[in-house]
Amino acid sequence: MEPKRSRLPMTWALRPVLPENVTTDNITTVNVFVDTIIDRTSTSKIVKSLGQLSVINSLTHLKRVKNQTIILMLAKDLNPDECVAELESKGFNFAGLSGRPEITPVPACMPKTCSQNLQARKLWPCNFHPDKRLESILSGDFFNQLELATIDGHMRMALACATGGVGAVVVDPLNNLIVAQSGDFRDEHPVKHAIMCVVDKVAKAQGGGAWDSSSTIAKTSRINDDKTGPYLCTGYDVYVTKEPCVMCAMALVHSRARRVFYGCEDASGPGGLGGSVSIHLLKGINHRFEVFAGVLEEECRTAALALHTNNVAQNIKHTE
Amino acid sequence: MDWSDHMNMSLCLAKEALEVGEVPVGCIFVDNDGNILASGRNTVNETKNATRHAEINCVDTIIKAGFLEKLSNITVVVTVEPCIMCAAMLINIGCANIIYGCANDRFGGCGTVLAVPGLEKCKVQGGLFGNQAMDLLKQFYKGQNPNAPENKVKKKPVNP
Repeated sequence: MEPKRSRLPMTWALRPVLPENVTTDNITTVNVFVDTIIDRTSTSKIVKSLGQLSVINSLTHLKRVKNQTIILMLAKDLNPDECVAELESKGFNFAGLSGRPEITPVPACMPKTCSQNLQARKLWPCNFHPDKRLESILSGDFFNQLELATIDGHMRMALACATGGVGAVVVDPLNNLIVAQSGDFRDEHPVKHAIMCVVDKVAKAQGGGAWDSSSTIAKTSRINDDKTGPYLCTGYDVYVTKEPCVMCAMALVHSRARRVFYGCEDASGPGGLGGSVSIHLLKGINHRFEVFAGVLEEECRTAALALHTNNVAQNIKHTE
Repeated sequence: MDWSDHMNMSLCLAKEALEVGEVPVGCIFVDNDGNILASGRNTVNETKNATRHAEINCVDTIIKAGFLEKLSNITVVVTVEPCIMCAAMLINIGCANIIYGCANDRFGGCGTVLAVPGLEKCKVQGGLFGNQAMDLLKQFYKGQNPNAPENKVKKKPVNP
């Protein structure tokens, strides 16, 4: 039997679904030529004249000088003599330097996080400025306890309507009211995943909708030009017990959701928000939203499994 | 197989969409024997639901008619490359064949923006009357421009 944990504030941990180039601590490197500064008083002069040569244009994320070493240029496939020859041919004067360049690996691009910066500066210091919002998301203190409790509450609502193993609610974060909620009906209709249903219920709340027969019959096909009311899911947060599939993830992009919280991963198919693909991180998409996974993960997984067990039971019944 | 006649039907549906101020995309679903199972167009503005694309409306029509079992192995003839959502949906239902007109640079799920998981199971062919499909899209987006002259076609109310 599960230990009773209800008195604990939160039994789950939120996981932001971020691009790999943010979550990794592996630094890609590029080789450069560096030289030792012999005459420290001429450092600024050397830095300036190197800057005018435009040989370090792709290295602006790096500090020019580390201790008494200065970056000359990208190593490309040159040897030290060729490096000296190339710089001198451009009019560079090695006065104040040792004149014996060496190859060293440096970070190939600007670190995206403090953690990456720690790794990067072991190689070479960077002109790094932390993104405070991102750092707070990474450290897990982006949401305070009250906000986490609210997230917990909304996901419990999604669990409560998880007919068919998946439940979804759309919430207006300005007043924490639920705009729409739905279970999952994909066994009746292949498009009626919880997300597709809840998005249509939001539409219905705005005077539209396609799936609720009571509203579609009376509705005319005249287009409402009123631009003052709510527009799709703009500004709304979406809570869904299981990771949306690719179709549903893209439906949330089309619907302009503000933020998406989900419980457990989709073990049965290609997940669209961190599983097989991350639709919210695709380049070229016209709308972006943040994604957080892991809300009430165990409870959500149990809900999904319960359906699976039901289906298996039903199938057995059918075959008998 | 020559899908020109089918694509012409889809283009007619797309034109109809344009006339009522919807993104002009039209689509028909054809079964293995060449029977047309459903036809549809975008109804996003009408339903205030951004997921009501032509392909999804076709699935609805088939489900409403009680032909759920006919959904797999179909051919979809659509004027514009299905978006990521629709492409994923078509893979989900076991669609065998996708014939489209012009590519969808903003949302294309058949390789333009993303090749959705499982797409390799489906035969995809683009470029059938692509220019005509693209012309309709251009007309629509020209109409969307607030600086463009008022488009009478777009504003025309349609009787129920």
